[in-house]
Amino acid sequence: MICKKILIIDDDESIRESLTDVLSMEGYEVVLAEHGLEALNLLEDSRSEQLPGMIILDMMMPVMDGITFLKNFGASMFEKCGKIPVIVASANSHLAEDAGIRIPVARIKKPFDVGVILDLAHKHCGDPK
Amino acid sequence: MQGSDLGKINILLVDDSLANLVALEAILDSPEYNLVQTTSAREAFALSDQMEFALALVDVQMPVLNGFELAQMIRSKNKRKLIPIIFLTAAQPSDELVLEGYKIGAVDFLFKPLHVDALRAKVSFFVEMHKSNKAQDRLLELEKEKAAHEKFKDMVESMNHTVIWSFDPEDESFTYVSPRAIDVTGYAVSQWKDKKNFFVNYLHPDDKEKVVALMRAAKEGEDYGIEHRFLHNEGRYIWFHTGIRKARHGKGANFELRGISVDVTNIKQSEEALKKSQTKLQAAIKYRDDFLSIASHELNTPLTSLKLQSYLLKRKIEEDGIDGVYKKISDVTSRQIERLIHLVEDMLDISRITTGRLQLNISETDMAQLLIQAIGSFEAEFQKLKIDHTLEVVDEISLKCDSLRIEQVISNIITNAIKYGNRKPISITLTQEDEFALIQVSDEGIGIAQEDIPKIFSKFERISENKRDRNITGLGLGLYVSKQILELHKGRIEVVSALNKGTTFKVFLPLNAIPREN
Repeated sequence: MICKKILIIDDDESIRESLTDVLSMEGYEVVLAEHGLEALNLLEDSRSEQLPGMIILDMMMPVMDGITFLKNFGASMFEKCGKIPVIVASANSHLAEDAGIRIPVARIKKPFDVGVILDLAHKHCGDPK
Repeated sequence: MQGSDLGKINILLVDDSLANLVALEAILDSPEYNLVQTTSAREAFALSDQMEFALALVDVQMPVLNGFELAQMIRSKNKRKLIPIIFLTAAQPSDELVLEGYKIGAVDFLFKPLHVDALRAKVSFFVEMHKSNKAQDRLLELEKEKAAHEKFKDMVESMNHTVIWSFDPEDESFTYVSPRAIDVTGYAVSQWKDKKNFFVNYLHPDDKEKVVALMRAAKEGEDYGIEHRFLHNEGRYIWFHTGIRKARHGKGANFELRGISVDVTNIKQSEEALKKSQTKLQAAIKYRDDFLSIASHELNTPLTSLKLQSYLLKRKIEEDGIDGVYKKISDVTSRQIERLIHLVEDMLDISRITTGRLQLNISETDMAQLLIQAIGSFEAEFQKLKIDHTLEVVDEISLKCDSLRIEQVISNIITNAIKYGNRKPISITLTQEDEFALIQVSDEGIGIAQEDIPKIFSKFERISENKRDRNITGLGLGLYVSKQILELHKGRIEVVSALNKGTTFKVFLPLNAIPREN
């Protein structure tokens, strides 16, 4: 089932806002979390039909960083969310290694091309237009 | 014959007549003597070798071996310890015989029938002499032992930074402390010995338990050493390495603990200094790594946002159909943002390279695909600048590399070709050459002077402005970074160029060498 919802996990407000604008412009629905823990709570509280079709994850964040989020996500939510692709968007491309994760992960380097993000959104969440 | 009794003086009696032996025994019988008797001269010879005799009484006339022959054998066999021999003879011997007897060790001749008192007196004299010799020997031995002991004691006690001690576990006091104690601990030997619980009370509180455990273990027969602190009389702690061993002491089941405490403060201090500098070094390395990671994050976060905003602005201008100055400003802004992004990335890469932190993510990569992707990202620019470009894949090649890093290299070279290519066609080819994949990017632009070629791959080098377009900007980091990335892949980059004719960059990537992952 293709879901047009995209979860953005990033502590930087301007990135959250800009990405929201870009993705909304293309017709996607955007959900926001400021750090890993907020995202985990959000996913936990969601019914399965409310789950996003793709997650864009920042690595360096306060409260819970991207690596910890991936570990928790892969461990406690594998049944529920294990099929959701996670796009790791990090300024340090090597940071996402060795997290021991079983979920599908793609890595893009910040600053990323809008085209790349949109391609990934099309691939995982379809073309809303 | 009889065996020797402990503590008694051995006297050898040799006579072929058993009756004579019985008579001798009767005369000499004394609790002090052990009379070893034999009728055989051969047995007497064997005995003389096995036992220590104060005196031998030997009959001269015996069958097989006579007394003289026996004496000669004993003497030649054992030259070190001479057994005084008294010959017993029935007949009055000739003077020559007596002389010969003395030569071979005879001390006297007694004639049969024997004079009982004279015999006793003579035997007693030789026994006393033997005893006196023995005593003297023992005294000499003791002297030697004592000298050796003194020497050893002196050696041990003069050892620097070392206290040697023995401890009575019953009495809980030191029974011996080597005199160096005063130099090492500031406490005199008497203080060690007289104060109750001297040692334990001066231990560092954190070490007390393990030293007590060490003593307990030593009492159980274990033998090992530990390091601990000890309060010097001057109020500072010194480090001791103390080993304790249980040893039998005196008679019976008594034992004592013997210990050796070596002052290892100097060693300990240099160890700690080393540890401290190691910690500092590790902190510096961590700081450096943190800096790279934080700088990368801090710089790239606003750049990401800027890039997205600039995209949105561009879209908005397009949607609203606004042209002219706003569109131009928007285009310049997004170009300058791209430039800034590349500069930041190059500078971070240089930091990573110079600190050896550039990491490769190796995966099997289709080189033609990689080239198509790299060229694809310049499509808009090619179109805008109306630059023709071709890609010729002569050999299909797949190899292990960090595809993002190799794409970065190709992009750097294409950027160069666009910058310096005079908008003339750019051709890209992929071929196999020996054990390498060879990617060539050729332009027909302004070229590079021969003398400048070695400079283009060095850090912060840019060809002087009169040779290159004044409007061309950049720190010239890209080619340096490219070269480093290729070297990490065990590949290389070469350049062929002629002024005003064009430039060809050649990238060699090994087909089989798996690049090191640092």
